[in-house]
Amino acid sequence: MSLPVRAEASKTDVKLAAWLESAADAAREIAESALGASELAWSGAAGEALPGNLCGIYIPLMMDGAALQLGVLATREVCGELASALLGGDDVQSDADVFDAVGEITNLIAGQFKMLLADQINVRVGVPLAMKGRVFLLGGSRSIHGVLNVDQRAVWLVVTGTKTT
Amino acid sequence: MKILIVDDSKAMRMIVRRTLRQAGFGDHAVTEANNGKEALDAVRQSVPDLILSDWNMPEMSGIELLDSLRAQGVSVKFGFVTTERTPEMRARAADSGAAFLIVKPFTPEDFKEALTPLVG
Repeated sequence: MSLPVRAEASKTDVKLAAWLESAADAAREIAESALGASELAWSGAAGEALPGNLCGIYIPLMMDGAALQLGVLATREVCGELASALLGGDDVQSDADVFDAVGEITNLIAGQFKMLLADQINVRVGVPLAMKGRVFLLGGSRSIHGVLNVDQRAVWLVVTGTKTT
Repeated sequence: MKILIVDDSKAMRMIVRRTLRQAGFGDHAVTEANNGKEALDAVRQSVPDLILSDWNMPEMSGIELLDSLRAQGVSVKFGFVTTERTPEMRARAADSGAAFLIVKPFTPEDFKEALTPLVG
């Protein structure tokens, strides 16, 4: 009885890994075009747990058969630096302004992600949500993440998925 | 000329303002709205010459704003500045009467190309 369940979990993991790679491709393009980044390095899917001191944005990505959350997370200091890069070097201080800007960066990545997969699947982008601290998975969700170094600043990309059919 | 920028992100409204200046449209009067509903209220007060609107926003989306304006007989020039760029979205925008769709992230050249035929 357990074999089909294991097979299904494995299939979901493979899809999450593929979606994480697509998210990394999208993030690289946005880091170059919108943030002016010149040095990018992607870790691939990482095995270790997410650090507990991260903050950032999760945005829903809905598609036939699955509902994803794409997370763009970093330390508060790096989130501020990303916000500043988006605004062309302007200093960004308050949480509200930092999360607004990182939310827009995440929205850009989600739009690029949607475009990269447009010939395979129709992705609908939802409304972003800012977070500080840890997120806990519930209800059979699975999660995978990796680190994109953007001009030597670590940015965690997270794809959390739930099958809907 | 009066330009109304509609986006729920303060950062993106700032970037659009800056890009307008960089593209040579800095001498126009620019106002802002946080979503389609606020934009609709602003248009009731004073109709701008051009609206630059995001697509996905809370309260009222950009496409709902455009449809609402056209339903009320307001023929203001309207363009999208959005991450939405699929052929279906472009067709939907054009069908509703949008003059152009600028894809985020954008450059001053993108703004020049889209706005010059309308603004001069």
